[in-house]
Amino acid sequence: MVNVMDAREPKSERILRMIKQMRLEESVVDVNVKFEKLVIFSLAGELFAFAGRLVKEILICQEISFVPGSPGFLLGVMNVRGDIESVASLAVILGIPQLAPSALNRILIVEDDHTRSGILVDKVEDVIDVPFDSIKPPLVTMNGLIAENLKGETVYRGRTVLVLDITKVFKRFGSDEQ
Amino acid sequence: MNSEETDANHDLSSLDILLFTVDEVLCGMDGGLIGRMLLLDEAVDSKVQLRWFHQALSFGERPVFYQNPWVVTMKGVAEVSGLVIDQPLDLVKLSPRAICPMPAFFALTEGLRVYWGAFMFNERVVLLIDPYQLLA
Repeated sequence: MVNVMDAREPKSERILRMIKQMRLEESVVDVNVKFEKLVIFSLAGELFAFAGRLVKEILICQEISFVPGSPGFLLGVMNVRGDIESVASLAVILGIPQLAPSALNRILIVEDDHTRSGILVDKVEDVIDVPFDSIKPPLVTMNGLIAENLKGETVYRGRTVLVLDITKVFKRFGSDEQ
Repeated sequence: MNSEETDANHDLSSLDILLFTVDEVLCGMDGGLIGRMLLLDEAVDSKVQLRWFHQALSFGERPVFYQNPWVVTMKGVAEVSGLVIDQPLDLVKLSPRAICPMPAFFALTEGLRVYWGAFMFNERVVLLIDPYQLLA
């Protein structure tokens, strides 16, 4: 009986029903997918990212006071609302060129379980949520210092984003390595 | 810690901080720890063994110029040793509440252990140094 009715259903009705069903399926969100917030930034034309949960603030560049005796990657310290924060050059840590200062430069205040510091980057591009499984093990060939500090890579607007492991980056801090 | 240093630490309600520059870096040290302040020529005449600030703490590739060098000797340290600083600016009273601790990794890093705090003065960061470490 049902089949007979279906057979008599106009073609247009069937198409509309099919479209409705397709849209319903597309709108279903897999609540089991876990997301990671990423702060995406550029350094010397390349895209990098830190896990957003570890980035406490994004600051416009301000006066950085040089600290004699500091290791080469440390640009100095600055005052942030009454607290003293160190500022490090990620470009120096990763062994890539440090571009000339620009109004787009930002300082990310980043903190893991042991260390907290400002990190100077050329430009913050975006803050996005990506599924955990979209962060793949690094595939691209890169220099040793970047590879040493890498957690994985993902894609943002068709470009590769190198996701850095801040704990690895902070290994330079607090060591006697100059 | 020597007896003079201990005496200086008894009163912690306020500190007398000697402000000075080396090149363009603004630093401070606890004035209560200072033995004598000498002009560079006086120190040389007195055969004080000089420890230049920029030799104790590297300025990297930055050239360092001293415009008005002075030598400070510290209480409890034989006066044969003196730290050469530039441009003593002022002696300011400072409440310990105004002092910010340095980032934790400073204490673990060679070359940065000498800094024990910082404070703001005329909107500039003043780095507080431990002169005993520089003269050690």
